[in-house]
Amino acid sequence: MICFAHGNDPGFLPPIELFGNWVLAIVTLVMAGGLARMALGPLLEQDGDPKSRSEIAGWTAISLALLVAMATWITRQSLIEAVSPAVPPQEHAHSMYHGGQMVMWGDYHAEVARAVSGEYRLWMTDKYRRSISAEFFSGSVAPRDPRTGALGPSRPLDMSLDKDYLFASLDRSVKSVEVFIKYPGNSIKLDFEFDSDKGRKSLKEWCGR
Amino acid sequence: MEISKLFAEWHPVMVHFPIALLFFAVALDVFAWITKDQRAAWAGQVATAAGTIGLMMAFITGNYAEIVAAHQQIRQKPIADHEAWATATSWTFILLTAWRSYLKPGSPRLKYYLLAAVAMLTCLTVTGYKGGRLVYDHAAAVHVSTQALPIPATPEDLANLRLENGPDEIAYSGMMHHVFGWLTLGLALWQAYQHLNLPGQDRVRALGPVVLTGGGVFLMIFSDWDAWPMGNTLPVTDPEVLFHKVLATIMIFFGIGMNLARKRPQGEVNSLQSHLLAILALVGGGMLFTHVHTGAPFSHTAMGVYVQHFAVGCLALACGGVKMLETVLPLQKKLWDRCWILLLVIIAINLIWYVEGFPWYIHDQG
Repeated sequence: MICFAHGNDPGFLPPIELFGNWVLAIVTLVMAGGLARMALGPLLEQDGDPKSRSEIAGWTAISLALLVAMATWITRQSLIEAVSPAVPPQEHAHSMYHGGQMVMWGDYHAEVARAVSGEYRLWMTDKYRRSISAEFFSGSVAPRDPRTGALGPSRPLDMSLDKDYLFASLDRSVKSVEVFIKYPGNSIKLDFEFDSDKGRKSLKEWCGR
Repeated sequence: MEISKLFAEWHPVMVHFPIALLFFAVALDVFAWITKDQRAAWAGQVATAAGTIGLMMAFITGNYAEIVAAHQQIRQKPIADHEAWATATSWTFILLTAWRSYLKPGSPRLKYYLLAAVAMLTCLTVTGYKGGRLVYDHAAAVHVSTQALPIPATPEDLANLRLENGPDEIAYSGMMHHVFGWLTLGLALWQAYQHLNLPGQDRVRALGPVVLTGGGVFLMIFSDWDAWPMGNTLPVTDPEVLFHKVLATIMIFFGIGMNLARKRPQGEVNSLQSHLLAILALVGGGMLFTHVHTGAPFSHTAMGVYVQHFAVGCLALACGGVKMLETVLPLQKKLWDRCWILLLVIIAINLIWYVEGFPWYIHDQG
């Protein structure tokens, strides 16, 4: 798959970054070539031996062929990158990574899972479903009456030791909740229901976590 | 993170040097061109060199400022824009400095140089402007809580902060550095063999170019497991991939160049081959200063990698510097040769003991 990605960031490479990188590459090659020419120039000019001259010509031909081959490859790949249509976004594969329920708004995805013990866990990901550390968001969870929507006392979500998710334990009987999430620049309230015909089942145990 | 903070705090200090010196240098050169004043021309050349060194220092500290700003939850796109302009500016001024050093006062090419230099000051201005906007619009490096930031980070920015190199990636990178450590040690021993004038010089002379060309071909193929020709996840325009491929290209061509020089009389071939290796060291060293770690750009590993780049970059520049000294003070050639070989050995040791992350001599509070 060829895309505009750079590093592990799947976002498009902006033109200015492309420009900066190309300046770096071209200047380096021009400088190296220019400095090498100063060193090798006298060698090429003074050598009168025909055998030696033919060897120099041979190596020069090999160098030029290599240079042309590499330039062709770099140009070709760059052109392919420039004209290729955007890679089909994979961000909307809404599979649940932790057996919970998925919500998406803006470029954020949140997954909330419930264990039969009454523990709720919240994971956040970006539009490419890459994990966001729990140190960048906070929130609380409150029991919610599924019929009236009335909320009970909320409980703050704590951060897991590996900063992978936030969690809180409620009473085992609470299966409908409102989760409040505060993230950089904004906040949101989300309703979840487990073990009903609307939502997913609670997990018997946390898989590997 | 402490190392990053330390270097990052020097970024706003360092940026003043290139901005002030390079504008002044070009002004001096323009004045010298109009008035034919040789003192102004000399001062212009010195200021250009000093400004470019300042630019390098600003770039290195900028890499750390970028990590600190990203962890402060500053938007990463304007940071990347600023860095891209800085890359373009740095490398054009490196080229301009090299060009300027070969221009004598009154040279007809001086006016072309001045035109290019004035144009490149625009690049410098945009770089400075973008850096300033990072502070004024995004509160980069301003002591405010993340909640008080005027423009919040995007979810992609936050996810980028969590990127870490996997154990396979770290092991692969370590292996590549070790391979090139042994290759550098080979080159050092090869140089030492010639320096000591041991028997079989004619045959030994062929080894260096072969090692260099072979190393270049190896690097071209195996530099990045996720880029051409090993994989196609990363494009050639990825700064890290591009750096490796450019370095491989230079190694291949310099290997060929050294092979061309091989059949010259003994004194001349040693000097030619060393000269080419010195250029390689200078260019490679310079490239290390602006080499960015794109896999996990804000990770603890990246901070350590930048420290290692800085150390090896300084050693490589010192190698090139020693060879330059040799041209100025040729009477001490033996001393310069020994320094050169010693520096190559130190670089080799650095690479052989390389670990992706902080080097053994620095303990950072991760």
